[in-house]
Amino acid sequence: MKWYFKIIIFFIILAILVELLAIPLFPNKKNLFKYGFFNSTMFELLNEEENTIDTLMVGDSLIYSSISPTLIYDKYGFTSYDCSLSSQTMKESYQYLTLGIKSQNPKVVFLETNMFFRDPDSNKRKIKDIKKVKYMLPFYVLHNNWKKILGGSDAWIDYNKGFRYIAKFNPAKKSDIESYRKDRRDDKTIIKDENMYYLKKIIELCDEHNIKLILISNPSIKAWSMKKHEIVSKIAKDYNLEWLDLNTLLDIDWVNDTKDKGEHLNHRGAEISTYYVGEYLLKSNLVVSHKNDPKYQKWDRAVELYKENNKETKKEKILIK
Amino acid sequence: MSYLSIYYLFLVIPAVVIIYSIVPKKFRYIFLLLVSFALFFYISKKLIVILFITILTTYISALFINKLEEKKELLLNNANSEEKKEIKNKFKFKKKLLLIIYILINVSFLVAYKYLNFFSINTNLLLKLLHIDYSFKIIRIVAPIGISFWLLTALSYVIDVYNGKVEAEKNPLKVALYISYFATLIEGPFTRYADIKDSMFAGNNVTYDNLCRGYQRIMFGLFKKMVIADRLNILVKIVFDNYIEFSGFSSLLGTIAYTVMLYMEFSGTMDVVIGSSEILGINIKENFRQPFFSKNISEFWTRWHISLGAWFRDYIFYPISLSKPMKKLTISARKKLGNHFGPLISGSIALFVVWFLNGLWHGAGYTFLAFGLFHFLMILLGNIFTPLIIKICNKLNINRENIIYRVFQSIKMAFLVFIGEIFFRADTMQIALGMIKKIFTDWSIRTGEISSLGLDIYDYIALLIGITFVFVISIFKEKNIDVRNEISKKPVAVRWALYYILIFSIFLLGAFGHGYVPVDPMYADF
Repeated sequence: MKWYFKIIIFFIILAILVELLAIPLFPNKKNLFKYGFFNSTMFELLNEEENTIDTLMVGDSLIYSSISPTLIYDKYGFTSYDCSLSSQTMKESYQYLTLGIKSQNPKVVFLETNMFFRDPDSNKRKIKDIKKVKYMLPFYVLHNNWKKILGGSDAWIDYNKGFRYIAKFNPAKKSDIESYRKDRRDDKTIIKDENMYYLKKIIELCDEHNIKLILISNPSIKAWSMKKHEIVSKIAKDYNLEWLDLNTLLDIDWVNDTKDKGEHLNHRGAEISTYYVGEYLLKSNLVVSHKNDPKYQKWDRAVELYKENNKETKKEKILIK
Repeated sequence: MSYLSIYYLFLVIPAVVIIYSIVPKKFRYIFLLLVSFALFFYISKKLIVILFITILTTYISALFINKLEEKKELLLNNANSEEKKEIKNKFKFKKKLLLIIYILINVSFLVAYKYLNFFSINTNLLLKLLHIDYSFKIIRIVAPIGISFWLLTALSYVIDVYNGKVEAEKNPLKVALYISYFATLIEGPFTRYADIKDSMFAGNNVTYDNLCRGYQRIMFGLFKKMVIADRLNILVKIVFDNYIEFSGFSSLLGTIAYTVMLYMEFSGTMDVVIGSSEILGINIKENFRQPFFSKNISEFWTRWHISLGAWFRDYIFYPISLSKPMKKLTISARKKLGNHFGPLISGSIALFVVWFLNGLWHGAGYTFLAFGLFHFLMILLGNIFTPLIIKICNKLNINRENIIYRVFQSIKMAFLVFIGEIFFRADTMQIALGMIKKIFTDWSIRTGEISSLGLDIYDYIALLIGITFVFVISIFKEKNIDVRNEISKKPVAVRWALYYILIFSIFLLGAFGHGYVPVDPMYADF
């Protein structure tokens, strides 16, 4: 056999092994076969048991750094999940939501409005799209789950439910805080057609499945402006959607409640927005509490693990650097 | 860019290998030169000018030295004995002058890029102490990538030509490739022109065997880096950044972890350098030879970063210790102090210079100087006390070849290496000395201390597996068993199964993704 044929065969076998040996690394094998390797690797919601989550929080990093589903469950008993990726686009949100509706039976969807203003055609975006190739290699993304295989059933519990815990604070600049409070206007703010297209599709999807869609603007000095507020306000009015602009509703301490100079909240800040959303759900009667329901015992354990593991450590400081 | 990055290993190397195979044999070295320049330019941009100046001065100086030698030989043929002496002295002076000018030009780059700030800061401190109202400006400049490696590689070539060990190369492109060869450009090892020229310029074909052997070596290097070094990185950072909060035990653990990490990262990089060159049919000498199997610090440095030790030995130690004043000193000292301690004086002076420069080579800072001088002191003490130790062993009937004695020697040697590495890693002398003090005085392990070092139980399991694997391979190497040769004798199914196991071990146990911080290429800044 010619040597280059040998090499080709070697890599074909390797590629097959890479996919096959990745199977034990997936937390939810049932969903893996149902939704495929790529989706199960990229969209962490698919690791959850089917039809257990009532609220989906869809959006970019402002979702996963502002709303902790575990804390909502702990206080109110409502199950929710942060369906969010870094710099998530409206198109990705639509994909995520489609899968979320297939695998869960949500009653409420919160949609982060910061994505409306993201440029889906930017170079940064294109590079991110190329990097998505890693999700085709679940072994690469999930390789650390070997620890969970050894760690027993508790180890497989996703106690953060899509939320990313950061305790560290990095205060915003005084000038940034002042300009934020002065209702800063950014004249360049526009919504690209593609984003509007996917917004309409998300609205349709929610209507089809009888899901209450609520727009949410999580607190961020860097991402929010009065111009954006006005645009979202118009959209909410036009499409008859409820909207929570937490930038105007909450009083965030931008010295202690942010992890990165005002762009995102840290855990202290996230507690404020999380409990606001939890209270909103409670008052709206859209979802029911699953506390004391034996089917949701894993959620109770998730709360314990969340409190046990989410502490500021020296390792966390290094990872944030 | 790291040699151990996925892009370099699985994009750059395959692309280079494919194009190299297509290019006609006689132009292959030119292709390698272009790749080397491209890599340099990609990292250091316009600083490539410095590399060009070094290449040009190296090429011209070597050629001139050769020409002077030829001219000398020509004149000697037609000269009488008295004239011969005069001609020899005249040409010796000219050659020496040329060599000194060449060294001064090139070493000035090293001084300017690496040491100027250190000297300026210290001179300013001195001026302040003397109440002189003047200070030198501190300019932060970025050095060309790998300057400490390719510059000394260039120097070795000209010195070898000066010493008549090699003929000056007439083709400037070959000299350029020797100095800037992409695989050794960033982190060495230092190659010698005589050792590498044949395989480097031959344009050898890429064979299946070389490809397999080369990638086996590369994957082994990747294993060391990703499974062990990258995993230890967090522990090392936590201990060295917060040593005050930890006990002496954790300080020692952090120090051991750092030494292991340094070894795995640097020797792993060397595996990539040697493996990728092997694919191209270029032979590069080993830079590590199971250093932790050494009996003492002296031996350790003949097994760790071998090419650096050899460079200092050939171009610093020997020229000093064999110089006329030193020879005189040895003769008179031998008379007064005897055959053991007599030659030790001149040797120790040369050794001091070597370790002073070795420390400085690793970095411009007091911690690096302390690192060098610590090793000097340990080697010196070893030299002084060896006869006494032998006497004691003989009196107590201790067999020095006994396995228990050998293990004891290795543990003692490793402990000294760990202490030395504290100076190497610590940001300041205060931290280094603080950690050493803790190791010797504070043995109160606090509750939960080990779990606060950033690694979980599974990380320790992965480390145990990884280090055991490297240890077993090292034993084979120490016994002169070529593991790759042994593998090549096995049936294809066994061979491939072993390759897959290695690849999946890296995938599975590799410390990458969320929760880990990969080690930066540690020697690339030198």
